[in-house]
Amino acid sequence: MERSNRLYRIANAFYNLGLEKARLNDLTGSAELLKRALRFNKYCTNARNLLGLIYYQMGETADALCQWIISENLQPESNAAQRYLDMIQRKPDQLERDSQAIKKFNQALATAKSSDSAFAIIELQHLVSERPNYVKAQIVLAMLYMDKGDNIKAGRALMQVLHVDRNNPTALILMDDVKQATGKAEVEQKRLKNAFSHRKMEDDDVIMPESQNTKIPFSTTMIIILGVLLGMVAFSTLLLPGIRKTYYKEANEKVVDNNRKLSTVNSDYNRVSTEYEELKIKYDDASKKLAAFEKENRDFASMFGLLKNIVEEYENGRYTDAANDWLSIDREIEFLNEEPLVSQLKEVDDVIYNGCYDKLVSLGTQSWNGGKKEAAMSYYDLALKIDPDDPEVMYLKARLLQSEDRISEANRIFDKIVGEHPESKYAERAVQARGY
Amino acid sequence: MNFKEELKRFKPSMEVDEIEDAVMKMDLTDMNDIMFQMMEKTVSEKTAVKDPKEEPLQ
Repeated sequence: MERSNRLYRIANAFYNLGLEKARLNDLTGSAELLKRALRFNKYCTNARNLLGLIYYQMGETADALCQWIISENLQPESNAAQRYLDMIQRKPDQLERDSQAIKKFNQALATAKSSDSAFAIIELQHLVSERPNYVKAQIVLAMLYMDKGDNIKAGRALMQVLHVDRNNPTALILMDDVKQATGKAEVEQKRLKNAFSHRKMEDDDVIMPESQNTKIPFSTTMIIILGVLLGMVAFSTLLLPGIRKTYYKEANEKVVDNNRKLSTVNSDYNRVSTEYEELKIKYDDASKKLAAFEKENRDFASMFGLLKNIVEEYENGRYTDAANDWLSIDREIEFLNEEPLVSQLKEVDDVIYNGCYDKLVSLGTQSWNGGKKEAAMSYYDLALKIDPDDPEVMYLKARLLQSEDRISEANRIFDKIVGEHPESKYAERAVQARGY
Repeated sequence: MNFKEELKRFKPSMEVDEIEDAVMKMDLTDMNDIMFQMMEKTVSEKTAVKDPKEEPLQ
């Protein structure tokens, strides 16, 4: 217990130091101290929330959200992190914009690393113009400027960083380099030297008076005021009407000109709007056609795959799967009449009618002989779905039904064989089996 | 300044889509947890019973 208290006190001390640094705009220094505070006590909610705020201030929204989410989970009651998260969740647009900014930065960083620094500069310029607080972006932009030799712009970017994060170490190092390159370092050193120098006065030094007090006589003042008044009267009576007239004339001309421009712009706008509507209709039409074409293409590819699959299933001895897939083919589809599907379908039909069908019938009979009547029935049913008018399979199914005492169902099939296939050898056998 | 070398040190910012993953993976161990783990380990070592099968045969 005592040990825990000691850890909490250490954490709190780090938090206080971090808070002090944050108040002095030393965000990087503050973040380091707050992280230390959290290493000693992960439940130090204030430290975690402040760390989130610092990340947010530096443009790292995701890191900030991360800290606040953890903070809320560790202390669900009366936690400022809830307020921060609410504020962000209340403005989904803002979150989306933050997310886009981070993505832009990452993209620009990747571009810069891949040697296309000109494009990276443009992207980062755009980003920092919207988000001057994005410290990482400003620093990378400054480095890119320095690489290009544009130390003035680099210095501006670094100033922006130091305005947000006063002691940012990277920015300070880069700023030193920039100052050396631009000669500002020397100027600053001289200024500092002068500001703190304690030079003794020498005999030759002269102290200049700050100003001389001279009195202007009253009459002179009056003459000046009178002159000014006369000048104003002359201006308002002689010059002002002419100036006013010219001004109004120019203004009227400008209004007329602007109206003309406005009407031209309006007519242009109407024309462009109409063109836009027409193009939109064309675009929608083209989109629909494209979607339909893509769908048809997908269906075509899917059908091609299905047909190929049926042959593979048959070759691998999966006769039931092959038959079921074959039965699932929708023969109404138009593109089944197109090559290469026509020839492929023909090949599949041959496989099913001349190979798979016989296999199913023989598997049914084998199952029946093996005492598996249920399996035998399913094989016969599947075979009859492929060819419903085969008297042999009809007869076998009827006999199987008969063996299971499903007499009325069996008799219906026997009657069908006799009625529809009277010349078949199975007609006679059906008559015998039915017991006419 | 070696620009390329310096630039390599910059890592991409965490994106908003990665927050969930980052929260799950974040190591929240503090000193209190470490000390507690050490105490538990010490106690378990002291109270551990040796497996009789591992003792040499008499």
